[in-house]
Amino acid sequence: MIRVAAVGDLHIGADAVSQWQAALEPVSAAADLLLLAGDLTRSGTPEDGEALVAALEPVAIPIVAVLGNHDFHADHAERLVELLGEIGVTVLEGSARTFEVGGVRVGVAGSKGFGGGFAGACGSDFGEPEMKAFIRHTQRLADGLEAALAGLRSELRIALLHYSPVEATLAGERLEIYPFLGSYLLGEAVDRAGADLVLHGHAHAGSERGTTPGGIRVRNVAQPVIKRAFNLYCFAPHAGPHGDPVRGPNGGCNP
Amino acid sequence: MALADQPDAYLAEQLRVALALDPQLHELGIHVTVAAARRRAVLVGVVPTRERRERAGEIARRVLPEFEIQNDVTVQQLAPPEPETFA
Repeated sequence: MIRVAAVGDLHIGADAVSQWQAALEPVSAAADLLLLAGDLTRSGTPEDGEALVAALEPVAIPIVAVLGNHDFHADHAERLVELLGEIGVTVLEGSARTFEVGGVRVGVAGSKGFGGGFAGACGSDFGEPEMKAFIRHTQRLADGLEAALAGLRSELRIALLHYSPVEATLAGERLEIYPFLGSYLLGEAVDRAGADLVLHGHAHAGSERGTTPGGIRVRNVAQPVIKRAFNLYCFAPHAGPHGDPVRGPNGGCNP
Repeated sequence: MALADQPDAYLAEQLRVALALDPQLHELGIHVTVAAARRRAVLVGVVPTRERRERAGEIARRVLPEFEIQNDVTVQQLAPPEPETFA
């Protein structure tokens, strides 16, 4: 069994270190990997970064993260990535990392993602420079995610995002803010490249479970949604040959 | 214009912006209801720590002085996980 722990939207500052240390204490025994779906810090200051490092200290399993909008607010995102790197946390952006768990290769491809909205009600790469920059940022990150996912040669493939790739896991949020919560471009990228599970955060009032239009499972692991220190997703060992990526929700893990 | 003469929606948004930009808080997830005619504001949401809950109340009292602030913000729970298995 491959056990993946995931949580997003920790919003850690110095005031939250001890509670997260205690909450993450059991994760190393419960899971093989810990995935963090962005908004790791309150506002991405170097002080918040130090607090995050302290909070993750007790975790003995590999940690993979993407950043979220809060992590960019203080304009020190590079320092945050550096601090996390120093304690062995991989921060993904249009990149991927593969781990071996009990003889099975588990690939995680990640991106922060961005907004823009969902098919039929979304922004376009048109008009003022600011509007074009907005949508192009999303498109660029979606392209990076797709390439990173497509490049994985693992039996199990997980896409890790901060922004949502689908509307389904936003249920509970106000419709008016959907364009600030995610983009269909991210879902399209995942459906094109294929994955076994997509994890995201950001939508605090959303819902945990959904799927992409192509039928890939999506889970919103924002802490206010799951109300837990982390959620645990377990995959039965995959019987397929190495190098044959599992495609779709019924491949391999759900025979 | 006196605070209480401004439309509720504008006052609520002023408070929401203050909650989002405060360096000790940076919280975008607090729902704000303002009823200026009753000099009342209500905060509802979930924040990571008790300190941030108190801070949200302080900011509301600063932005809307002379209003009764009802701080119904709660502190997040970090319960143990329940596994979901894909078999």
